[in-house]
Amino acid sequence: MPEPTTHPAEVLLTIDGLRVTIAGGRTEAVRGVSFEVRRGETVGIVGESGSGKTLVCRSVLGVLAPGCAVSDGTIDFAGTSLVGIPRRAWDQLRGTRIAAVFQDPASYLNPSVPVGHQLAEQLRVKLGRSRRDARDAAVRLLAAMGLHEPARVYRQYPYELSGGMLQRVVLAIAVSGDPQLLIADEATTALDVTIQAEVLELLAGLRADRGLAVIAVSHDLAVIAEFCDRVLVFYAGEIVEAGPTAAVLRAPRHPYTEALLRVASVGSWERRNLAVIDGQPPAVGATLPGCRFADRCAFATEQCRTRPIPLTELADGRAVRCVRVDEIALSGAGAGAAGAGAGAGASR
Amino acid sequence: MTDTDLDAAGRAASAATPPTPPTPSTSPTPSTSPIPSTPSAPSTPSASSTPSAPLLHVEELGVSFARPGGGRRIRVLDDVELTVRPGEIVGVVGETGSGKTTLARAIAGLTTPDGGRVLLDDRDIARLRGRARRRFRRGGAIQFVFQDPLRSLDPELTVGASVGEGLAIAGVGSRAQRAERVAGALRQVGLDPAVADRLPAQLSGGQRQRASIARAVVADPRLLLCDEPVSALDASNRNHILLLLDELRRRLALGIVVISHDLSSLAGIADRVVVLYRGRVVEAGPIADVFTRPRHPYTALLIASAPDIHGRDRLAAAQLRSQRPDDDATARWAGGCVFAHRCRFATDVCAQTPPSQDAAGRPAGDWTVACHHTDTWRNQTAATATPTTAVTARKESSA
Repeated sequence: MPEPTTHPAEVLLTIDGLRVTIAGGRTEAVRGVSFEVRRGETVGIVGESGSGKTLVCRSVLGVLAPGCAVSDGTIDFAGTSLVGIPRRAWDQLRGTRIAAVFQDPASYLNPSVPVGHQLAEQLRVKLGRSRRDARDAAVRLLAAMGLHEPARVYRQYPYELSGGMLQRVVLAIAVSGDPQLLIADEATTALDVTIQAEVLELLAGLRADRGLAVIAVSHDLAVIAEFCDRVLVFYAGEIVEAGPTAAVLRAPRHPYTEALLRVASVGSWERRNLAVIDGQPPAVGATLPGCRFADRCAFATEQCRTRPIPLTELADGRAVRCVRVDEIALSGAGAGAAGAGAGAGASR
Repeated sequence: MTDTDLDAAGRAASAATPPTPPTPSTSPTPSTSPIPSTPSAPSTPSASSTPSAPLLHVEELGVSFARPGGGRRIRVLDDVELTVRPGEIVGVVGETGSGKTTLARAIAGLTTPDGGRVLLDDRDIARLRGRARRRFRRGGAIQFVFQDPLRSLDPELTVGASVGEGLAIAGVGSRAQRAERVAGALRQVGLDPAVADRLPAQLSGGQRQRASIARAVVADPRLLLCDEPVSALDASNRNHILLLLDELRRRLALGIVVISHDLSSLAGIADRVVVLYRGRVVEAGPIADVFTRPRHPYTALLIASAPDIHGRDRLAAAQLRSQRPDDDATARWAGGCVFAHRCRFATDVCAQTPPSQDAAGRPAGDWTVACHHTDTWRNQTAATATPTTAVTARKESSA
């Protein structure tokens, strides 16, 4: 596992105090999120639906849905601010310096245009290549994505390709402008498990070959575990724990991270007691005086509910948002399948 | 004649499945001990059938679809076998296009098979036609639960109306009696009966999936077909729904078929697993055995590809993928084993002859594998590469 010291690379993306409102500004769904992404680093974001992980990604891409807006905080990408910049400035960034892949590749491709033409169009518009150059480069890119017979794929329409092949085409389009940052929001969630493994390997290869930094969003902790240097655990619009993936999974410091580990697909093939996290997250935008996880937490006391809990820096590049961090003992994934069994309060 | 028999059987069964005390769900089956052939025996009420009699037995099932432009039909399922006993959960895994959903649809009578039999309590329900089929369906013995409850529940109907719709169509009881059964079904799936007045959009994802399970159990079914019931849910809601299915099969002695691409979810609740590849069963058996010591290379590839938090020793997916280019595919391997074109261990015999189902395990026939090299392919992984964890291999290559 990479340790923080092996990443002297410079910071590429800095998000500081990001707040995002939805429903026309009435509801605050991202409540002060700060983190950095270094060049060539892979940062995983994990959390339940509604935890704000996709809103953060969309803020970085400048593609928030109507009614959603960055209400506070800064996003700095290699010296350029990404908050409140005009459309023309985005055109200089998206596709060439920041790119993205999402869950359903078919919905991001034009169904009536052969996939190779869509890739070549990127190369012509974004990089100013000639028609012939763009075509040749597109075929080479398709081959680099592990697609067999790339010249044939070039002429095919989206409906003729499988989900895994489409995701490779979308990845080819995403990396065609040689971006520095790739945002992969549930990029492998809809794929079969065999194809998911292949696409994750392809992403790891792209990262190694191109020095690409990746923000990978997934609700599946196991995907993050296999793929990311660092992990950010989101809960109800906040980061509750952050740190090197291996360390966080081996010894989680926040009760929510521990609960996520217990319910995750642990890769255990034995019949087991399925753990659940009792209760539901607070409604998006709900204002609570204290910890947002307190109502579902087995360790919560009065002090958790009275005042806001800050994200506290720990040693070894870790941080946790819990006032009782030094008082509670949590178990991690290192204990093996058996460790996923009993746990206070949240297991059945 | 068939329909009246079936009705009688259905009534007998529903009369014989009163609320039996739930068996404690905190008794996990040890992975090393053989799973008994009748896992449901302790919780199965003494119905008219003997405990080991299968509830559902699918035999030599074949389904084919017409090609858009005519010509030879596309075979979607070929010679598929599947057995579900009362109180048993059987998982069906396989990738997109393997025929998982078609299998469920054929069992439910939504797709007409062109060969084989679908036996529910020893009666072939695939052959029912017209009035007999309608009466069987209204009896509600087989129910479907779909992946996305937001799409499978009518957004303009209240939850109560959706859950009770089938009863109303079948003309069961009075309006008040139906409302009572709807409330009972909602309670059974852990929902407050008050949600009956709400619309699906006003429920959370987990609650919506509970509502669609309520719509299935309100009909007093014997068999539940769940097509990816948890893939649209977060990890914690996922386990809530899996626990609910586990509880329902114990309490109601339901046979449940769960189609899922999430192997870990299945491993949590299923007793047996059937692995489909291109419409054929390549391996079937007790789930802990099949997942810990897969005997078919495709099953092994599925398991090696599943992401894992622990990174324990296992075969890496790369050790199991074919080393041949894809374009080598169809022509050479047509007519042989369905997996041969992607199989690292395929030989000439795999190209020529479809493998038969070899039985193994205990009792005999409990664990079947369709592979020419069942006992030898694993040795080749040892010879060609050093076993390592997928995680370390990947981290090293990226470091």
